[in-house]
Amino acid sequence: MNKKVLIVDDEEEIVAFMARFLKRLNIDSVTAISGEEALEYYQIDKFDCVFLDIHLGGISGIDVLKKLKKINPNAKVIVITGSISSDNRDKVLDLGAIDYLQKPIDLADLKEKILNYI
Amino acid sequence: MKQEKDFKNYLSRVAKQMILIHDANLLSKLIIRTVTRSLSVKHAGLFLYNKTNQEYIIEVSRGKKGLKIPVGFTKIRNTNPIINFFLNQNLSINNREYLLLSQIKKIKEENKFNKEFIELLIDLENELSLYRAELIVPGFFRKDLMVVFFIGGKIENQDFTDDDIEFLTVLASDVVMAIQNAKLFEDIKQQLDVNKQLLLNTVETLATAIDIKNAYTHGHAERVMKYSMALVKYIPHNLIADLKVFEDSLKISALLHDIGKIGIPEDILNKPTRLSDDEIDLVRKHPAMGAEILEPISEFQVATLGVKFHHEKYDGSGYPYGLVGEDIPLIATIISVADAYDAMLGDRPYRKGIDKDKVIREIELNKNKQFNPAVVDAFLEAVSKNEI
Repeated sequence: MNKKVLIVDDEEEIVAFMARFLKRLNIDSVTAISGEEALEYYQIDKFDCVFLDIHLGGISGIDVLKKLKKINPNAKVIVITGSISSDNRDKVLDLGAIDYLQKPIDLADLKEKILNYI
Repeated sequence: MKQEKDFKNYLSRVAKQMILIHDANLLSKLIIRTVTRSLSVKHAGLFLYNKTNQEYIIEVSRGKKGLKIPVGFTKIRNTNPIINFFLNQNLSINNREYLLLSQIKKIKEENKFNKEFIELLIDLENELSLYRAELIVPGFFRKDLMVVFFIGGKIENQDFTDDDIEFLTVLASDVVMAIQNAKLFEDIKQQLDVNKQLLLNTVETLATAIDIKNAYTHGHAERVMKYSMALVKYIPHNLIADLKVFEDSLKISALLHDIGKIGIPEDILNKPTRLSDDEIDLVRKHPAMGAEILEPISEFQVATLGVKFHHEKYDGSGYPYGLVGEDIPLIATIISVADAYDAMLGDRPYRKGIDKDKVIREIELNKNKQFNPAVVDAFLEAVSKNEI
């Protein structure tokens, strides 16, 4: 069975693009365009990995990360961010994210990370 | 593209606008808007080459929500199949002037090429579908691939025509030229800023050199410059053609107004007793000597006027030329007030400084006599606003 990931970003273009990219790697994906939506999906379904944009409208990416880890302490969350300070990077890693990706993302990096983690 | 005439019109209109835009991002937006409108495509995006990092980043994307390529989300390198296709001299479809998804599919189905080539086609096809692009058009500057258009399918799903492709090819090369221009313009501007700063540093160094000669006037040039710059803001602006240019000259002129004193011995400048007639004659030559020093520098044309005439008086009683009223250049009349103000405030070899209120009254009293009335008014206004 294919692996499955959850993609969370408030830009429709980004979740659609990520889903297409993952499909090529034979990875299924579920997309959410808000934190609330993401948490809903995460409670009813199982995912091998979560791609989480840190800048979300509504509930913030940081809060989504905290709640995901509460629902499942073993959740594998890769945070996606525009610019990241070293403080913020440490913060998301402290909160239990396994890694982070900075935009613009090199697709080769993205592929490597996914294959590495799932 | 509906008609050939439209196509030519668009091109010349866009080209005209591009020349005027020196901002690469704004330019890219204009181009992409032109592309989506004139070709009626679902979306279009522009990848720009960043030479420092050797990567291509999508700067502008336009089209249907959820369909267009997300801006700033990904970057690609020359290992990307599409970029590699345009850079690799060994591969050739369409003379590497464009890539068309429908054509790639067709060639693949013909199945008359070797396995390696077919694999390459599959890579290209996958890459195009990832970006939902049906047409790719590159723009080169010499051997560098500078821009890549990623164009989605047409809204009504028609095929791209030869005209469409030609339109995009020409547009791509225009974009490259315009981006090169924008970069050049940016470089020149930066260079000019650097030169301007260098010049100002040199001028300040010179001003300090004059100041040091004169024990009693330490920091005088710097202060005259500050007062002049504060004052000029209140000069009626119809008296000044280009304020920015005028201010630049005023700054230099005020800093250097006494540069002619370089030729006057220090013992005369610092003499505590009355000067002899010969000595007075010599001191009164300093505006003319200063002008002589600066005249060879063409950039200092206006600044030189300030140096040359800063001891002229409105009623004609000044030196060394005895000019009257409006014959004295404005720049000199400003320095004249600022210079007198600072001179009266400070100690002199032969007397103590006068207090500020008295000095201001003295300047007001000399309106129309020593000083240009418009400049005195501006001075008083700057004083009332606490800027002097």
